[in-house]
Amino acid sequence: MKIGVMLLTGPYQHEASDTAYNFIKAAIKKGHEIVGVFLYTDGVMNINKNIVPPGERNIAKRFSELGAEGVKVYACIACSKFRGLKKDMAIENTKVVGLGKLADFIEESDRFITFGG
Amino acid sequence: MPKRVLVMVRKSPYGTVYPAEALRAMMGLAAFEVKVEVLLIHDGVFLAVKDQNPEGIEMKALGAVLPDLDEMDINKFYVCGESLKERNITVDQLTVEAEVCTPDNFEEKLTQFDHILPF
Repeated sequence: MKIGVMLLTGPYQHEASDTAYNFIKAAIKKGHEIVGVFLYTDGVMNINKNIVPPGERNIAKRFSELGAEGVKVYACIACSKFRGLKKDMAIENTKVVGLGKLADFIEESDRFITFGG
Repeated sequence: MPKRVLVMVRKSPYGTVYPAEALRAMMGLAAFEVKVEVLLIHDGVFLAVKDQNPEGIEMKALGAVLPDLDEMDINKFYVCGESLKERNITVDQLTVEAEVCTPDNFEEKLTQFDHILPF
């Protein structure tokens, strides 16, 4: 199955970033295709490359690893502007893009799942 | 065939960014030819209440935006009747015409959408 994902909350404050990541890993393991992860509202902060969590899991790095595996991890450009996340602050294998990519993910997916909010 | 998407607004228009971002998502998706319809439920029904005046908190009146969505072919609104009743709001207090649904009859409607985006 082709699955699209949207994440609405930032890292660490809520568990949604972790749940989305674990869901994506499990879905891929089961043979599903993730058409993309769209980071919207505070969700964009999950790919801030300056995240350095003392002694804890690195959520930005997790999304970068998903990107390296071929999953499109895209953050909304307008939400990024609101939050001071510049394009060069996005961790490698992720991108800052326009809302058109969300429309693409919606069109391409059989199921579209939202985390956070 | 374009996907038919229901954007579900569950929160009051001010206090969190979600309803404002739901509106932005609706417009963005419609611009890319996604067929968007809207459900207002729980405190989300407050989004459509007329005569909002949030100038004191330096926000724009979000309810006034709903009628303008028609320009982007977003003109099908559903509203939860139970949520209206609990908040003492009537349909004539809303900025747009909306189909009043009950939790019972909405279950069947939900299955008609390709995707649901909850905000």
